[in-house]
Amino acid sequence: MDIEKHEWLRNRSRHALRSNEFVFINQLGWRSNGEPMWTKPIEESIVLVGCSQTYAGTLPYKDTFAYHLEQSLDRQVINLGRPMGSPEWIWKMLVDIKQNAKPWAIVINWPSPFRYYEWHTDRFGVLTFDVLQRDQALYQFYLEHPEFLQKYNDYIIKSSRLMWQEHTRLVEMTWSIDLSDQTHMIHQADSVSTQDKHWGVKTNKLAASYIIDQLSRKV
Amino acid sequence: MDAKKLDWLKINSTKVRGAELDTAIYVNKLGYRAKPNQTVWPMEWHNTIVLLGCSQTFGSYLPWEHTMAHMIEQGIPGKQVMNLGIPGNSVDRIWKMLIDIRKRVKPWAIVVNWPDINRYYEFHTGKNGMLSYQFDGRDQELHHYFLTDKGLDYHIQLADNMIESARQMWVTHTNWVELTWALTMKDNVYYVKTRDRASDDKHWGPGTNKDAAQYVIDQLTDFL
Repeated sequence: MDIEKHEWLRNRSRHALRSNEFVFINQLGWRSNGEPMWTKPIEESIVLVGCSQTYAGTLPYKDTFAYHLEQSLDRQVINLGRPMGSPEWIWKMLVDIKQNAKPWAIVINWPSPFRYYEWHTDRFGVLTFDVLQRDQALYQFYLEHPEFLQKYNDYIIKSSRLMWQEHTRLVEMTWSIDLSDQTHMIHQADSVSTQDKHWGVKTNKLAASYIIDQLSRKV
Repeated sequence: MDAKKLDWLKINSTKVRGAELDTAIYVNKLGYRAKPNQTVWPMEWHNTIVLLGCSQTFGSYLPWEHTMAHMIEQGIPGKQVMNLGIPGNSVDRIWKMLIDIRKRVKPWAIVVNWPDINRYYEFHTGKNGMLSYQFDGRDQELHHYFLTDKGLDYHIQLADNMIESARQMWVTHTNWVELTWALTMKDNVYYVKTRDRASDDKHWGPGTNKDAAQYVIDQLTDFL
């Protein structure tokens, strides 16, 4: 992939992702398999969109479901997981992608519907804890009216589906019990550690199996 | 169409304000403005042009014959126009309606007359709000938030994304036409310039409705 032609995909967050002992961040600002830039065209790739479960920031790359997909399907995986990502932000990414490219497949790992995206600051909010640096007025409103966010996110999910389901292979799943009646929930089999409650090695394998099975039905 | 199968489309009858009563506005069984005495639309979806928008589309302060819905119907033989214009309607609610429709049916065409960006939808109450006017019974807190610079910036970016996603959901699915009466939208979509006004001196008059209808007819004729 030519980096100049894919500037639209650049992660422009002010809180850019950074490489560390577990994670390699590529030239466009996303977690990758160690290559500075994805090598194959997006049209032949599986694009993953989600939050920290998809990003898998405390797991070595070979334990992430992105890696398992890459190995099992022999396809490049573009992991657009962003920690704290909300359904709204995923929807925004899906709109951006549709304007620019047609991936071989899109996989969405929906986060909790009680998260939101601050369009004006490019930051995320979560109702379950007060995020001090964020827009307090918006946070207070959503905190007092969670039903607004729930109904709105319901439409965000429907809209995402309608944009993509007839356009390419679309697989959806979630880790959030609050979305289990809307999409397939991956039941958590393990955690990274006692301190880090994100999906562990086993659960990442389960997620990969589900996606592989779904994609095999769509080919 | 069978009215019983259209329950999902039903809204509380559009409230018609005092002066509008002089223009003999008829609202059908499902709560939308329609041809006088037409309780439900007679043709099926594959022959239907769905028109979405706000009071400009509804045809506030105008008799049916002067609305763009009527004029489009006259200009595209064999098709009916379903006028789903709702006074005060917002980009957000039109986006929501487009999802509700897309999930269930496939009309022959969709025409959206986008309103000004200064409207929003209260997902928790089902009501539209407007930044320039504080309606009774609306959520004060949300209204005040959207009046701040931060809130306005938040809403503008969200509305832009809603418009783009509406396009992406529909443009390859059926015949699709967009226009707007709002200056704030003119960089984004075809803008119909107001050349006359209805009796309230605010809404489009019959001449502007004719211009809008002609634009839509020209676009849709290509799909016939």
